[in-house]
Amino acid sequence: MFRIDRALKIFRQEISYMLRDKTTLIMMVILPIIVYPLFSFVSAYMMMKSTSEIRKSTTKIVMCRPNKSLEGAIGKYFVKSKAEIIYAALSTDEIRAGIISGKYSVYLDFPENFDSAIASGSTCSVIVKYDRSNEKSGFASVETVNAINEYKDGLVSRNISGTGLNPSLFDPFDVAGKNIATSVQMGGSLLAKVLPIMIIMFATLGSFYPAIDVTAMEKERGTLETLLLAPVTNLEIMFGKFLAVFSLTMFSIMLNLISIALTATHGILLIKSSAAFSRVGDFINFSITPFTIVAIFIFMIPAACLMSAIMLQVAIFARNFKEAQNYMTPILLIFMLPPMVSMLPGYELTTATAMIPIINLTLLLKGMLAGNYSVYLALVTFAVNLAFSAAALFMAATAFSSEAVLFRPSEDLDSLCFWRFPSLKISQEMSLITLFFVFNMALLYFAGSFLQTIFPIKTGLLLTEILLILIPSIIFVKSVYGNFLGYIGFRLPSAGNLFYSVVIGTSGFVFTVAITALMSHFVSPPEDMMKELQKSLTAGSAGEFFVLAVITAVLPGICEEIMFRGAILPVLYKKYGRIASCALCGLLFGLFHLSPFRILPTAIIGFYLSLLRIHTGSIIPSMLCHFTNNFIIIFVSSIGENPFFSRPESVNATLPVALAASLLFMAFPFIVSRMMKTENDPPTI
Amino acid sequence: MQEELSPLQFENVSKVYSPGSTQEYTALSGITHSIEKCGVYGLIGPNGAGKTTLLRIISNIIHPTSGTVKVFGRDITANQLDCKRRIGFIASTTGLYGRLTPRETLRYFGELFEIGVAETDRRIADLSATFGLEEFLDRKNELLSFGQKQRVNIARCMLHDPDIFVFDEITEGLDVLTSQTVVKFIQYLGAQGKCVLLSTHDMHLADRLCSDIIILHKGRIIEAGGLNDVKKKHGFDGKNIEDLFVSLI
Repeated sequence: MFRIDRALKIFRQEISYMLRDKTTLIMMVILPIIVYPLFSFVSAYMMMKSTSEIRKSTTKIVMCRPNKSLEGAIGKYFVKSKAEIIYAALSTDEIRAGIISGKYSVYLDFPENFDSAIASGSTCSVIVKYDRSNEKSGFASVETVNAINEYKDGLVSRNISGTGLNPSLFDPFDVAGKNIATSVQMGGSLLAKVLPIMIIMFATLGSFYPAIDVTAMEKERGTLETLLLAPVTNLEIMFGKFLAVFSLTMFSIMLNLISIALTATHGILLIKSSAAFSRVGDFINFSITPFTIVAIFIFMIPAACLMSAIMLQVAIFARNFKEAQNYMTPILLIFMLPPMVSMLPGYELTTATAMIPIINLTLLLKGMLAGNYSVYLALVTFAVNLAFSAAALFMAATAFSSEAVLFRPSEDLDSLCFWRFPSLKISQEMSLITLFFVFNMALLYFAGSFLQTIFPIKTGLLLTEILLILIPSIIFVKSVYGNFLGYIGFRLPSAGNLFYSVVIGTSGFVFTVAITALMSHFVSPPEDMMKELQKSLTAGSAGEFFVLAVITAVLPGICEEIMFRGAILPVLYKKYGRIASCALCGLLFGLFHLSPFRILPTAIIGFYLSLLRIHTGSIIPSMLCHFTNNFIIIFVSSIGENPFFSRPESVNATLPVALAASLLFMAFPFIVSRMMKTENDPPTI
Repeated sequence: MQEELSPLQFENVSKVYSPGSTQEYTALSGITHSIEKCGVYGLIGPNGAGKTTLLRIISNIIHPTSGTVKVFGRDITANQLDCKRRIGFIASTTGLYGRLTPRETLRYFGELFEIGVAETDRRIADLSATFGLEEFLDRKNELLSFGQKQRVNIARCMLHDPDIFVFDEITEGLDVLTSQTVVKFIQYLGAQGKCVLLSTHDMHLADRLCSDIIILHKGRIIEAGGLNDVKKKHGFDGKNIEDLFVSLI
């Protein structure tokens, strides 16, 4: 029976107890308060200092050759600040190196006949080379260009005065840009990006230490055991602790928002009066209405609830502070990295993004600070975060009522030290294979997309298959099972089975094309993506086709089969039997292709490839079948329009092709059903 | 009425840790025993015998995998909170909140046990006098010595005036003086007619304090009864309990 008064007793005790801790106080009270004033003062100070330092320092101008008139112009312009002129003919690389090392500021390039050209009335150009990434060089370039323009203007007016023409002929009107954005908007747009990150970051930090303090630290001190002796239920303990963490998080958020508001109204005035440069003033000038502050506070409630519940749930697993920090750091990152999307242009709160917890909040805060957001989406965001926090709270409650969590034995991740065991239990094998798959998936997602951006697409695919799929699989199987070829089932199949593999590959291809076509009525991938894919899979010449065949048919046939049918399937088979393991292996194979549009077709392919591996007792038929499927895809795209990449109604097929396809399509279920018989299955494959 | 019911009854109590995993471990298997009258009971057994598990189950910190435990006739799983009120537990692992003072600790537990503020303060005064807590009653727990902490712990478990006391290795690591306090405390509880169940490695202590012993080995009770009866039964009459223990396991 849950009694709220008992939970509240624990809540009160936890709050007062946590506020006695220095770390908690610093992280939750002092830091959120001082960060904004400090941040704005420091950034304003740095900007002013760097600007005035650049002004004071000597501008070192390199001229490609001596020239009296240009020198004079520069000398005349740089009266207040010093300019030093050096003569040297340099290459662009030398200039860049010189700017980086601080030897030069800018480089002036002009033709040898500069003076004579001007005298004779023909035009020529002066190029001011500078490095924009270098603040000093950028600043010097502006000054130098101004100096030369001043000289040019003088020259123009001198030339005109000789001819008696009206000077306005050459300078008919003035053009000047005028910034009409109010400082609120300018500050808003910049701060709208940064503030959500800061607010969420401090909220996360605000719940981090309290969550550890009331869980893992209690285990470490032995007070959890003492607390469990009292006549309160685990649920009441959990809820009391949750309320305490949640309240402190909200308290931290409140302090944070007050600090923002005060910095906006009072702190800025101070800086403004001392800021000599309007640029600095604009940068840090912002204002936030009290309404916005209150709205942000309200919308932070479900988010703080979610954070507290998740933090509490993770921290209760830890047995001590050190362990808790290890477990919590990824959680901290999960909360602190997604808000970075608010920095990216083009990310707005939509019905879709409003469904993603925390990210929706970031985007909402961004909109609120910039002054444009929809109330409807704000409510959706609130509801979504609330729903997620309810789920997280439920999970935390489950964790708190589990003895295994509260009194966790020391080494429950033992399966990771697989080399210590003479033979692995199936549960250990399952956790190892899960870890392997997740690791490889992450590798593919991060390293794979990296490889495919820095290399041309074909090289990228080649490297992905070998480095990210094949090699990890070999290392995994070798280190866990030793005998690589034996474990993956690399043995010679009968000629009949090889023929059978080609038939399945062909008929399976037709079947998945049909499924894809059917699917495209409901969901279809963006047209551009398909065109891009088709382009990359189409060969223009025989040589190109050969390369393409190796990269997209031979390699996946070997590498992906070794990973899925070689390393993963045997464990799944041992645990789940034939049909379920094939379905699961197919699903993993589908997920591995990292595209929501390809999950179903690739999962079907993965399913029959797995069946083939179990049915024939060898990995070679599934390799051949995989190759056949991929080969047909590139073959068809190279000779004509690939049905994979176009809308079903736009495919023109000749009658014989259509007939053969229909036959293969209808044959597919029969071919596959032959392999589904599960009687007399061996215990391992 | 209390006298009519057995203070503690175990019926086929088993405890398996991490069932189904590679770490599966059976700590208790089928304990059936009844403690019929109050007194000081010594629970002895080698490391890993299941002493701590059994005591934690009685205190309702963990729950048996199967079987039932009854406190004065009431099933502890069905009446968790009521049973918790009748039990006072101290182990070498039960800690104190470092940033609280002994007084605050006792007040917090007084609140959790719903004793009432005035009554709690009265009891705190009594217990402080009995266990000499006055000098450090308002110093933070984290600044106290091990012995002082143990005295605070004793006060904490006495606060709600339980009928059954469960002590898990509480003399471990204590100096002679504090150890003496604990011994006197246990003797006092025995004289008060409370039921004390204490586990210990210290055979001399068991010899001195206990009227009855329960010998636990590999999760089973291998011998139980009045101390002298058990000694007599195995031909160790008048001899050291340690010899009896070694001969039995």
